[in-house]
Amino acid sequence: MHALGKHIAFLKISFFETLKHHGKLYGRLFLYMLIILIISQLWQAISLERNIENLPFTFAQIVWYVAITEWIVMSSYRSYIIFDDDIRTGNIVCFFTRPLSYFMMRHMQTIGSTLTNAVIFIWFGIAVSYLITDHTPDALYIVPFIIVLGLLAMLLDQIFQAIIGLCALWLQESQSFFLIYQKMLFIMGGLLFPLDIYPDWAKEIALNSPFAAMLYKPAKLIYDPSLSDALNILIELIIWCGIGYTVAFAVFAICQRKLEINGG
Amino acid sequence: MPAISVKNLKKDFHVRLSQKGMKGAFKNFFSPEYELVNAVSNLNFDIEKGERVAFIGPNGAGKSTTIKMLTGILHPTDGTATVLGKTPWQDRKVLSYKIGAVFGQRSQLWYHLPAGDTFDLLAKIYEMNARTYTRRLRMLVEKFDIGHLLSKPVRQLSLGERMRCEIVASLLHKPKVLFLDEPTIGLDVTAKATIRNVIKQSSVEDGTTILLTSHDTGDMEQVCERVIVIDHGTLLLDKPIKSLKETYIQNRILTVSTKEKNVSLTIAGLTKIESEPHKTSFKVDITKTPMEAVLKQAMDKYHLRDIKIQDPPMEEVIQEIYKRG
Repeated sequence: MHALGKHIAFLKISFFETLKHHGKLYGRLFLYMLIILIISQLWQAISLERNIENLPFTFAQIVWYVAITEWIVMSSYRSYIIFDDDIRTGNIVCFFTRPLSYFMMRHMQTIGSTLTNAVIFIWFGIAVSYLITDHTPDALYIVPFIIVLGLLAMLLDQIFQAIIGLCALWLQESQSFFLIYQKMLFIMGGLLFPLDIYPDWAKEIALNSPFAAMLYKPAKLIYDPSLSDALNILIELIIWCGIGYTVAFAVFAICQRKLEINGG
Repeated sequence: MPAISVKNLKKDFHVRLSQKGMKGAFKNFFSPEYELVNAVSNLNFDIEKGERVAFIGPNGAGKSTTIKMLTGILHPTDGTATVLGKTPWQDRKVLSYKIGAVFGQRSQLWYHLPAGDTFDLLAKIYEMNARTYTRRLRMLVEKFDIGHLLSKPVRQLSLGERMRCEIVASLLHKPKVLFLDEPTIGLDVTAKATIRNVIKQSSVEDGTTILLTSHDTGDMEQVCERVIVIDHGTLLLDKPIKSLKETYIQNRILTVSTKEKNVSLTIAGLTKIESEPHKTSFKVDITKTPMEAVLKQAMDKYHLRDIKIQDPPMEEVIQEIYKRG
C-alpha cells in the first residue's frame, strides 16, 4: 500500500507540474491542431478528386479518426528520453539508494505528464474536429469507450518507450530505436490513414501487431461503432500491457543487475 | 557494533578496451576485449557510531566505488561489509530508510520540481508522518538557510544552492549514517564553508555517522575527526586527523617580523620561502635543526617584533602520504 502511495505521489506531482510548462504544452497543442487541419485538407482534396464512396468512412468521420489517433500519439510523453538520460549520465544509480522502485518512479512520472496532455488535448481535438466537419460523431455513446481505450493505448506506449529507454544501457543511446518504433506505430497503427485502405497483406500484418490496437482499432470505433468490438479491443490492450510490463520489468531487472556489477 | 564495518572488500571491473582504426572498430564490435581493473582490493576498516571520517585518495583510488558498495548500489567481487548491521547490497531497501547519500557530481533531486515539492515527495518515499516531516523540514530549512529556495525549480538553483538542497534531502529522514561523495566539488569558498559547518553541526546534534570523500583537505579538516587514505583500492592510512600532522610533518613554517628590512639566516634545514620588507617566512626541517636553534639565531642577529610558527597546509601532508604510500 505504501509502495503504491509513493508511486501515485509521483503521478500526481508530475500531472500538475506538466500544467505549469505552458510553452511546451501550447507548442504541442498547436502542432496537434495543425496536423488535424492539414490531414483534413488532404482528405478533402482526395474526396473532391476521387470517388471515395467505396471507403467505409465519410470525410467527417476520417477527420474525427485522425483527431483520435493524433490525440493518442501527441498526448503520450516522450518518456524514453528520461530513462535514456538517467542511464547515460549514470544518475540512475543514485535513485537506487531510495526506498522505491526506480522504474515505477519514472514510469508513474511519465504517465502523469501523459495524462495532463491527454486531458487538455482532448478538448481541443473535439473543438477543432467539430469546427472542420460541423458534425458530432454519429454514435456519441461510443466516445467514452474510445477515451478509455485511448488512455490504455497511451499507457502501452509509455511501457514500450520505457523499454526502449532502458535499452540505452546496451545501445549507448536509444533515439534511433525510438524512431524505428515510432515509424512502425505510425504506419502499422494507421495514424493518418485507416488500415482499411491498406493492401490486405499489409492490413493483416498490422492488425496482429500491438500498434493497430493502440491507434487504428480504438479510432475506427468512430465510424464503425460496436460495443463488443470496444470490449475486444479493451481485452487486447490489457493483454498487450501485461506483456509489455513483463518485458519492461525483465529488462529493468537485467539492467539493474548489470549496474550493480559494473556500476553506472 | 560499529556503524560501518568493512572486511576484505574487493571490487573488480571489466573495462572494454577500445582499439583504434577500421580493423580495431570491427574487432571492437565482433569480439571486444576486456581488461580487469581492481578498483578496490582487500579494504578493511570500522567506523563507530557518530564518527565523522574523511575517506580520501587520488582520482581512481576507489573512494566512490567503496561508497557505492556501502550504499548497496554496487555488489562487491569479494569480501563483506555491514552498515548498521546490514549487508548493503542484500538489504538495500531496509537500509535505505536509515542511510543518506549525497553524490556531489550527480543530482538526486528532481530537476523540474521546486525544491519544496521534492522534499514533500521524499517525505512520502520515506513514509514520514506529516508532523515529523514538517518539524524536521522547518529545522533543516532554517539551519541550511534555504527558505527562499523552496519554490524555485531545482534546475534554476546555483551549484551551492543545489548542494544545500541535496544535503537537506539526504538528511530529511534523519539517517543514522550519511555518505557524502565530494559534497563541495565546484563550490566557492563561502558555499564550502557553509556546507562544512552545517554538515558538522547536523552530525554533532543528531549523532549521525559521516563518511566523506573529498579532494579538498578543508572538508576533511573542518568536518572530520579521522581520516582513511586509500590508493589503488588499498588502505594506506587510518588515523585521527590530529595525529596526522604529527606523524607526517617534518616541516614547520616560521614567519618572523623584524625591525630590519631583510633577514638572512644560515642554518641546516632552513629554506626561505617568502620575503617582504620586515617580514620573512622560512620552511624549517625540524629533523635537521630544532626550532629552538633557529629562533636563537634569529634573536641573536635581529630585533624580532613577532614570531609565528605554523604547520604546513594539509595538502602537503596528503601529498606526503601519497608519496610514501
